[in-house]
This record gives sequence, structure tokens and C-alpha cells, in this order.
Amino acid sequence: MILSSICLIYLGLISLSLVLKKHYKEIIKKDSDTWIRVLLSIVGVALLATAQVFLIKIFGVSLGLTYAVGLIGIIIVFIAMLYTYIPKIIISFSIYVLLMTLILTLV
Amino acid sequence: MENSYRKSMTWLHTYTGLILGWLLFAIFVSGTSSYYEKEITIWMKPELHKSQESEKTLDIAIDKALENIENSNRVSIELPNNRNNTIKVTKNNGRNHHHHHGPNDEHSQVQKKGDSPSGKPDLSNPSKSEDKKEKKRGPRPKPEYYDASTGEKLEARDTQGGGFLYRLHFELYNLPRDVASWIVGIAAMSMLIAIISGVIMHKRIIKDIFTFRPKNGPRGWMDAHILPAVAALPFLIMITYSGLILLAETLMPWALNTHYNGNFGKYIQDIDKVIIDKKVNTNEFTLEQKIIQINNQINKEETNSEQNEVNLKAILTKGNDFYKNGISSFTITKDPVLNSIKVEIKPNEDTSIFSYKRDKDSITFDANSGKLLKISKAGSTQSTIYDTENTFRSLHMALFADSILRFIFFIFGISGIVLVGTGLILWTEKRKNKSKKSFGFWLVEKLNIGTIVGLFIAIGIYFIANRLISIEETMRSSFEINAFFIAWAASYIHAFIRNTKKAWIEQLTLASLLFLTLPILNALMTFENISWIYDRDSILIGFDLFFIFLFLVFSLITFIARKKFKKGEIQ
Repeated sequence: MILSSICLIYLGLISLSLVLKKHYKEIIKKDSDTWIRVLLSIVGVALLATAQVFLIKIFGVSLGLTYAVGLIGIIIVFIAMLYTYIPKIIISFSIYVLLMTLILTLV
Repeated sequence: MENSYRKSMTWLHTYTGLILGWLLFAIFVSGTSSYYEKEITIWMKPELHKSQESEKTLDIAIDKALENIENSNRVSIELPNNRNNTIKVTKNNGRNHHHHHGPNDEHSQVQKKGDSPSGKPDLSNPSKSEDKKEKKRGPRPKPEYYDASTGEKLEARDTQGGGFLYRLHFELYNLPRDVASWIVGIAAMSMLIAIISGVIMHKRIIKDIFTFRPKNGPRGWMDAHILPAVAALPFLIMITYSGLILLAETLMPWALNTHYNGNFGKYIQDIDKVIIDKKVNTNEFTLEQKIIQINNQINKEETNSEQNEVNLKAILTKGNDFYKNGISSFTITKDPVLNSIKVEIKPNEDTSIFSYKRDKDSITFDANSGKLLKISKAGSTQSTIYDTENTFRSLHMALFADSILRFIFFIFGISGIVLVGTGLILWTEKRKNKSKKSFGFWLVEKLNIGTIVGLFIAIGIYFIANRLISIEETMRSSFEINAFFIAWAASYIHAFIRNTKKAWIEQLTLASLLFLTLPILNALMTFENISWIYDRDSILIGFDLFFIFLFLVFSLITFIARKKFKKGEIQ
């Protein structure tokens, strides 16, 4: 479940990063529409909230919240490094993470 | 000051960050290493390294506990866990034996010592009165270490270990505690001001949250400064603010002094009351039910096996059944007056952030009857003020953290180091193109080298000294610390007398060589056979890997800096 939470946080933060026009253009190669940005914001926040619920379920409220803040910080740096050095793999890597999340959650 | 609000904030950010930046860098480096204080101490005592947990460990621990309780009123046994590879025995003849004093034994111990279970000081106690009490009570009991496979007593070398770096980050060194607290407190306040003004001054803080542009000049350094700041912002605010809370009794003692008129024992009693009241109001019913349920089970087992004597092993087994992640330690306390013996068991992993010093998870058994007497569960109390303070203190020290969370805190500590280090370099980067460089610029450049690289050189030398200074040397612990400060001072001297570019390259090269030397020296001095490369406690393998990682990081920085100096991209 902790691995699913990490994956969900990654996916949530990737969605939120795509809300920013420069990252969307860099990855999708076109300008983003307003409704896409709204949708990505909702999806991003929902995924982060789900990860939060998972972590609280595993560790309890106080430790779960601490874990969530900690993991979000580390994954932000990881995503920043992806955008800087290997932006081309972001889409494929995110699809892989999404599949892994589904498998982990369903299994 | 500047005309606009944002410019004023920029000015404030620059100078609050710069003036105490070198001290903050040292506090962050030594403080971050303190998350692995226990592990550093184990690494620095190679005589303990051969101990590994085995099937016999629990039996050995029980034997040692029973041997020691014969001539002592209280024996604490720490079992091997992911932060310790030996059986650690601490016996105590009533020094901390005051059950009426707090809700659990550890609490009493903490208060009496003025230190936490891990040897950390409880800053809620004023140092002067603690020193007096310490003299009255006699020396603190010294732990004994036993091999977890053979039961052999292990005599470890004299060293301050990780405790030196831990104490350095808030006591500095050899300074009166109050003076050190004030200096560190002012540095922490500067950091807090720098963080808040930094958030205000950066217009694009959210837009740049995922941005890092490794370019030459101030732009690249700015990104390297902002990225760890934004990613670790909650941690940075928490660690700085909680640091101030930990120092509050020194920085703002007036309320406590006025209300309790200097009687700190009364203050502690009031806090105990808050914790005890919590247990009555929150979870007494469910815990009582659980105690009855477990005791019924114990009665049934005894009837089935027709055995009336409950032994220590049976009690510890019950502890292991109770805590899903196993137990980390147990304490036997003998009360000659009441003729009772109690066994308090603590779990391997804490379940709450409130688990801090006075209020830890534990279960207590009566050793004679084998009955469960008490379940203590850390949790929030009815006092929001106490809970808030406790949460900040607990978060600062991460005493509740399991290995993953501890590692996350450590990474955030590193982000703090990067933040302060890049901030110091950024100041010079922004001013280096000015035709006339001031004395201030020269001073900052030199201090940057001596602090940013010099501190790592000093730590490397501290670890090397630990391996090279003879075990028989009576003053070896002080010699290790002297080696640290001599190396650090030498780095400053070298930086001041050498050309700046050459000083950077030479010190970076030295730092990388030191961290390469460490795993090799460790193997030469401590390995009993070649299989020790992989067949050791994971803590020790982790150290070798971390030293190699630091070697690679410093080598890479040296390589990049050398290339850029040659190309003239860095002046």
C-alpha cells in the first residue's frame, strides 16, 4: 500500500506539473486549453488526496500526514530532475507508474 | 532598506541568510547527521560490529537481564533492531526509580536525567538545576554491550560517536549551554526570517516548483537554491520553528519562572497530570477491555498447561504477540518495599507522532503472576498547547520515525544543507562581475570554502581519527574531537591564504579522497575476513555505501568545477 501511495503521489504531482503551461508544452508539444488545466488540477489533487487516505490508513493520522508531506517533497525533486535531464521519458514512465498503481491497488 | 515591499524582503532575505549562513550550514550538517546518531556511534565502535542478531538473542538477553536484576533494582535491555546490532544492558540501582513521578518508567528516567532515552537532553529542564541534581545522583549508568549471537561481553572504545555531531548542532562546543542556546536560537530565528522573506520575494515560487536549470552563473545557482527550498518547505519551516521551541525555555523563560517560581519539578508534575488525564479520558475503556481479554487468555493458558510460574520468556513472547512489529526493549523494575517485579515492554515501531519521551507506547506485566497490568499508548491529550509543543519537539528529533521516515527526514536535512550552501554561493555569484571587489566579497568567498567544504573534510577526518587513534589511548575521545576542529581550522586557513579557485579545487579533491579512504581504512582496520564485505549488519554496509556515494558526489563536483574554471565559465 505504501508503494501505491508513492505511485499515486507521483501521478498526482505529474498532473499538477502539467497544469503549468511551460511543462505541458514541453511534454505534449502544444498549448493547453483551460478545461484541460482544470481537469488536470482536479485529477492531481484527487490523486494526492487518495494517497493521503492510503497513508493515514497505514500509519494513522499523525504519521500518515508526516509521510505524505515527506514523500511529496522528495517526489517534487524527482520530477524536477526528470523535466531537467530526461523529459522525453516522462509520458512513458508515467504510463508505467499508472499501470503499476492499478496492479498494486487491485492486487 | 529598499523602496518596495518585495525589494525590502529581498534585502532582508539576503542579509539574514548571509550573516549567520555559515553557522546555519554547520547546524544543518551536524543536525542532519544526528538523524543517524545511534548508527554513527555504532560505526565508531568497531568492537561491536561482529554482533549479529540470531535465534539465541532473546535467550541471551533474558539471561543478562536475570543476572543483572540480582544486584540491581532496575535493568533495561535494548534488543537488536534496525538501529542497533547488540544487546545493550543498562542497570541502575534506584537512580531513576521514582514511579510516582510520571505515567511510565521511561518518563521518570527522562526527567531525572534531563536526557531523553537516546541520551538527548530534555531542554524543558534548566541546565543549572539539572547539573546540581546530576551531582547528587552520581554518575549516569554506563551501558554494557553483549554479542547478540554468543552473549560475549563487548568492550567498546571510548568515543563520543554520533553524540558529538548531535551536540554540536545545538550546544556548539565547549560553550556554556545558555550562551550556545542563544547563539543557535538567533541563527534559527534568522533562518525562519530568511524562509518567510524568501517565500514572499519569489514571485514565481509555484510556477518554478518543478524547475531546475543547471546553467552557469546566478540563474543555475538560484534554481539550485529554490528547488530544495520549495520541495522541503514544510520541513524547513518545521525544523526551524521547532528548533526555536526546543530552545524556548532559554530564550523565553519568564512565563515558566513566574508561574512556578523556579520550581520546575511542579511544572513536570503538571505535564504528567496532562498525560495521565488523557489516558483516563480517551482510551481507558478500550485498553481496560483489552487487558481483561489478554489476562483471561493468560489464565486459560496457565490452566491448560497446569503451570503457575510465569517466566520472563513467556512475558516477552506475549509482548511480541501484542506488537505486530516486535519489541525493541524491556525494563525490569524491582520494588523491594512492595516485593513486586514489573516488566515494561516497548515496541519496535511507534504508532504516533506524539510518541516522545514522556509518553511512549508500552505494556507492563507483573513478573510474578504474568498478568498484564497496563497498556500505555502515546496519543493526543486534552491540552492543545501541550500537544502542539510535543508535536513540534517530536517532529524535530524524529524519535517516532521508522527507517523509511527517518531516511525522508535525512534527505530533507540534506535539502536544508543544499539550500544554505547554494544561498551562500549565490551571494558571491551575483557580485563577482563587479569590477571592484570589496573586502566583504573576499571574506564571504573564503568563509564559503572553509565552511562548505571544510566541514565535510573535518567530518571525514573525525571518522578517520576514530580508526587510527589507539584504543588504549586514554584521551582518545578528545583527540578525535580535536582532529575534527584542527582539520576544520586548517580548511579556513588554507582558504584564506590560497587563491580562491585553487582552494575550491584542492579542498574538494581532499574531501573526495577522504571519503574514498574511509571504506578502505575501515576494511583494513576492522574486517576479520573478506566475507565481511557483505556479511555484516546492514547499518555498517550502509555506511560504506554512503562514504562511496559522498566520494562520487565530491569527485563529480571537483570535475565540474575544474572544467568550468579552465573554460573560464566560473571566475
